[in-house]
Amino acid sequence: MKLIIKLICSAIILCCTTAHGMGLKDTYLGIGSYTSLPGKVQTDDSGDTNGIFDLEPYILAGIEYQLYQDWSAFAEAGLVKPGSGRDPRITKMNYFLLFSGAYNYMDWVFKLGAGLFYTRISSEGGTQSLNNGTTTTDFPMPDAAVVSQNIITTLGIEYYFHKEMSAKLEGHYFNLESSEGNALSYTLSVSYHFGNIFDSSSRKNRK
Amino acid sequence: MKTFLTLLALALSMKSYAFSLNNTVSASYAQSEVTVNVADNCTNLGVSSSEILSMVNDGAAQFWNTVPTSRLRLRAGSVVSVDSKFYTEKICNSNSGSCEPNTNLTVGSNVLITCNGNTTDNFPASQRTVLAITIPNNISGTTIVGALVAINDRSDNVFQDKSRAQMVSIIAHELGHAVGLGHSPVTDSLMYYTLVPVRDSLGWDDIDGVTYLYPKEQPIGCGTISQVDTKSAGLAFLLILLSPLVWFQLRKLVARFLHSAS
Repeated sequence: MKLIIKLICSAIILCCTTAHGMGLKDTYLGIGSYTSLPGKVQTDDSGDTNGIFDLEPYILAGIEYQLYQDWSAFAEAGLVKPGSGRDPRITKMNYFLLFSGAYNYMDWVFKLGAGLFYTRISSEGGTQSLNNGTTTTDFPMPDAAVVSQNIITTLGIEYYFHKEMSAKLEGHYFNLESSEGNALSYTLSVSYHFGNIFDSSSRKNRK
Repeated sequence: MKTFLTLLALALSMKSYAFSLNNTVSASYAQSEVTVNVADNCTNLGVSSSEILSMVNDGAAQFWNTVPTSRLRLRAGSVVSVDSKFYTEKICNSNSGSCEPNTNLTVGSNVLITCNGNTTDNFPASQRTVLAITIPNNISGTTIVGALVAINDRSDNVFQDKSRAQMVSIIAHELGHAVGLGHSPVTDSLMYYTLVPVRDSLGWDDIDGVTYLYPKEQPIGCGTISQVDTKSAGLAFLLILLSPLVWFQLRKLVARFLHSAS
């Protein structure tokens, strides 16, 4: 029995570390701004659209996994600060999971990947009295939470300006496979890198 | 680390934008592609039915089909012949608070745009400036099966005075009602109750509304509104966030176990 357990565990370890140098390289936390659909959304009655620097705060957490020499893989989660305001009964929240491959060149990291982007819209119901033709009508408000799920393609560039900190610009492209509903959003972020938090002997690898 | 914490505090103090959303009915089409047909019964609009169909195509491409987080795609169908009652009969049997649809005008599937010249019930002189009446008039549970857009075809209608771009946005607005959206309280929204000086694209309220009714479900979807248990969704997200840490801790434990076993 002990031998079987040892074999299973050895197989798991083997799957995770099949080559020299592979393994967890870095964990990081970050903050930044998320700009959604820049230039594509009308923001007033004279036709102005949202700017390319509409900043929504977001936080991120991720890990870097060493693959081979200068190549690594990233898994990252981000959460955009929930918004509400025109009607406080409605809340919108965006969050995403990204998986990317990356090439490290000196203090630069070039990333290409894919991910899942979630848009959550919720409200507690009720009605809203609004103009309707020449009268007013009570329009129902949403009374549930709905989550939209998109596959996105990501392209990013990251620069380590300090051995523990980096700045990143990353684009999120929606509906690459379709000719409709295409859109680009992007993030600007700063991250703090902890290195391999499970190996205290590991050193910060950049700078 | 101190710099990082300062940046975090700055980020969290920034203002986030807001939005609102409303629906005339809490219902939506089951299918992602909704076809819009146009009846060949217009006489006073100053544009032909085929031109209206062309506007449907333009309105879908300029507005509703641009939303990345929505699965809804509107398609221009064809010019169709319909019974004369679509031109003459009232849209609602009663209109006290909400419209009780006239069952004679039930649309079997998708969306039908018709002209309507009923100046007694639908578009009396006091309603001359009303551009159209739209109602999903074939609903099964929370699923819209068919919807009717009735354009005011009075001889003195105001639709005919609009520019083509305005006509496109009017039709796109009515199609918003047809797919289940109500009015918006904000002027930057296509679903605002009246025309605004310039309408080039959707507002956040429109985008959020159509996303709410027709959420994208990539890579797979079952074609219905995915209402979620918010507590479980939050827990699932937290678990996904923590899963890499759990994975590496498990690896470390397994390695220790193997080391001690040997």
